[in-house]
Amino acid sequence: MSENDIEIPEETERFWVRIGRVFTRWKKILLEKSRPHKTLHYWVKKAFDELLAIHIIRFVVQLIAFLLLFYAGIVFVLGYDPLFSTIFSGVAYLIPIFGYIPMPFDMPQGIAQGTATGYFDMIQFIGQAGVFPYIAVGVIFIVPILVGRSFCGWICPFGFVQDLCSLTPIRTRYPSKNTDRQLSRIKYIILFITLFMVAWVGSWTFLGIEQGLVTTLGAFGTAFWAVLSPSGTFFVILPYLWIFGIISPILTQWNPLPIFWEPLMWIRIIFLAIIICIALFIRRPYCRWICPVGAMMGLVGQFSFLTVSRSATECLGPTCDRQRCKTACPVGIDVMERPFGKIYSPDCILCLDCVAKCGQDAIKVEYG
Amino acid sequence: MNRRVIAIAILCIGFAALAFGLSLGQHEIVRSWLQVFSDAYAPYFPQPLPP
Ligand code: SF4
Ligand code: SF4
Repeated sequence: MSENDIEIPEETERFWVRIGRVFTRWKKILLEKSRPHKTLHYWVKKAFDELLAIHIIRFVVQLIAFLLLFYAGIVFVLGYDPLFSTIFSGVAYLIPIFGYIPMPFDMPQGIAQGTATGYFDMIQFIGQAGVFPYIAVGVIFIVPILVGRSFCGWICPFGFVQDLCSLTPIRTRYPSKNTDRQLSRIKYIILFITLFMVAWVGSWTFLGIEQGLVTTLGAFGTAFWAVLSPSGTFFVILPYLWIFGIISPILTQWNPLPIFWEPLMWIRIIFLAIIICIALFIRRPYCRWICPVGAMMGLVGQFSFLTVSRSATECLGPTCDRQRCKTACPVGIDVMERPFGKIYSPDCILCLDCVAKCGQDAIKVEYG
Repeated sequence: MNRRVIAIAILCIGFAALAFGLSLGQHEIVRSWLQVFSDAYAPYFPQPLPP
């Protein structure tokens, strides 16, 4: 039997035909690249159309970030790394919502228990210890200008937890505009109080007269919001209770933890439970109304270079029969109500749901 | 004022703060301070489970 007579199985043939088609498609796209009128949005959209839907990519990115940080929380709680046998540690300035958990990168020598924190917690911990947190402040000014609040839409694991809650079959409710506006003031109030406490405790610590104040404030004297933050509860307190309060006593002997008797811990857990319950029928309630990190990133991020923008020529306006952009937004921005052009909003988390939902391709990603 | 001007101004302040913080060696302060912090919380953490 000569070489030419070798039978190629049908599946193999189909496989190569498919590869050929993908290759031709990408060749076409790459050739189009030289045309000057193609904007950044065109390429983002094209890549998404060609490869995957935006929401799937976002889900995968969020899931990876979630697993990474969930694992980091467990490493912190255990005090060692059960999978990689090294304690990962470092300071994750770019992750704004965590307190004292290790990250799987940047391993300085000589630190017994790795600790990492986000820059918002950093502002509190360092600030309340009487040092001005230049690095954290710098990052908080730089990151939202460069990429807006895309951290919230794409990375924040607590945002992901809320997104998961909204995937349940419970019908989504849309709070009225007025309620939304009123409630979203809460996050600015929390932000203000937190920064005020940082300045107050920090300056007294700097002057060396903080003893009485810090004693009175208790846990709040160390870092004001970090001791309440539900993301900290979810990623640090819950694994802690689970491992040392349940698994460990069952494996060894019952040994109640000191933290079990702390009312603050129960307040944290109840707060987290309330938020999760609300998130079952309202999308991202914590991000919209409570999160001071989001508030701070939003204040800076409304000047971001990265935005979504609605085109006056392509949007059909009230005559559009789909109107899906009206309810697409997880943080309640009605894209149709905004003026044409870039959408400058302190609430936009750049999730690109509105971009994906618009059937007219009228909402685009813009940079600059 | 133009949004872009404000954005660039904020960016400059941010980079200045970052550079200043690094020149003061604040990344080290952050590390050593966090170490103190984790020691302070050590009583809450029972003996880790054996690896
Ligand atoms: S607003 Fe807060 S909780 Fe929501 S995604 Fe942003 S950082 Fe995370
Ligand atoms: S406006 Fe669009 S990109 Fe921004 S948060 Fe709403 S749906 Fe996401």
